[in-house]
Amino acid sequence: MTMRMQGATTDEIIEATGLSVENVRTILSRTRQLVKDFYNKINR
Amino acid sequence: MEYDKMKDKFFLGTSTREEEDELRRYLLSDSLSAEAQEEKELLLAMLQPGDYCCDEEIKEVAALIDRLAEDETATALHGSTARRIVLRYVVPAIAVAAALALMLMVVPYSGNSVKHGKESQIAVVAPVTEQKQNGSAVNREKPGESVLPKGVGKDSVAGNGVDISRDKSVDSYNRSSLLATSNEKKPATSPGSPVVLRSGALPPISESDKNESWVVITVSEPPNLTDDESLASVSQTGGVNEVHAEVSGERENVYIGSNSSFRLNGVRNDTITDPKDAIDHLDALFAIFTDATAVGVKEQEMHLKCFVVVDKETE
Repeated sequence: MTMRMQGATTDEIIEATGLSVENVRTILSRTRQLVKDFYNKINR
Repeated sequence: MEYDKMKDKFFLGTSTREEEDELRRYLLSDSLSAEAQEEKELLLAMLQPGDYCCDEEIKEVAALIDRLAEDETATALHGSTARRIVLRYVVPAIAVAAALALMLMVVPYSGNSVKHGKESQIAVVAPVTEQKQNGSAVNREKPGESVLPKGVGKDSVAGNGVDISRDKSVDSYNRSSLLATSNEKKPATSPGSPVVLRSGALPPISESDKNESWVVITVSEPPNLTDDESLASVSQTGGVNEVHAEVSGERENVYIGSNSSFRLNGVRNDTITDPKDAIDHLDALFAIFTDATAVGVKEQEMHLKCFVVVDKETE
């Protein structure tokens, strides 16, 4: 996530972590959804 | 690309780097829909440019996480210590207190139940002994002359049916030795033993009646008991199957003996002027019986009941 926020591509994350494309996308999806939910929660 | 599709791909993690750049550029423009305007702040925060460095923010978050972790650890340790103290000290203390409370509740009641039972039996004995004062006491001693328990000895064997209470040769076996035997054997019985409860249960006797109140304890048939050693051997060998008391003859003597293989003899026609002495003497005899039969307090209580019942019949 930190790498992505710092501009790392999905391929770079895969290369750095050894995760598959699907797992990287799953992590990104979950993380972004959590951030979104948290943001909506604190701004209501 | 439409805003909703770009946003959905972003949150699904399937958007490419180019698609995310396009989304960021859209959000930085002025022509935004109401929905995009509402989500602009959130999406721009997550769509940081590649050269954006958030090391400081990450350090702050890491420090926050460490602090929270330390707080949780301290709380967990505190709870663990308290639990340990409760398990080690409080629970055992409660258990001991409960046990003591249970004992204090049970012991007095159990003692009372036995004690009351025996006292009621003894209450029957005392009046009977006083009623016997008008009986024809052939071998009765002079008032106030307690000879208990003279008569245990060889001379008493030879003097079958003879008043041996005046025989000085049998005085060697004195009362204290017999009572000492009784006292030594008391620990073998339970606290509810009649040996203990009978003592002192006799009602007080007035000074005028004291010399007239008496109990004669006679054991049928002459004994082979000559001294403490013989008594001890009897206690060890046993053989008494049943002990009973009976009243016989005009003398209204109370006989305590055995109807089977063993008869405790030796205390023959002894007159006891003090009822307390009679009770003490019975204590000693019952103690011997108990050890000889090795049947314990229950059997001993039966002997006492036997004695009381016979006395009732004489009233």
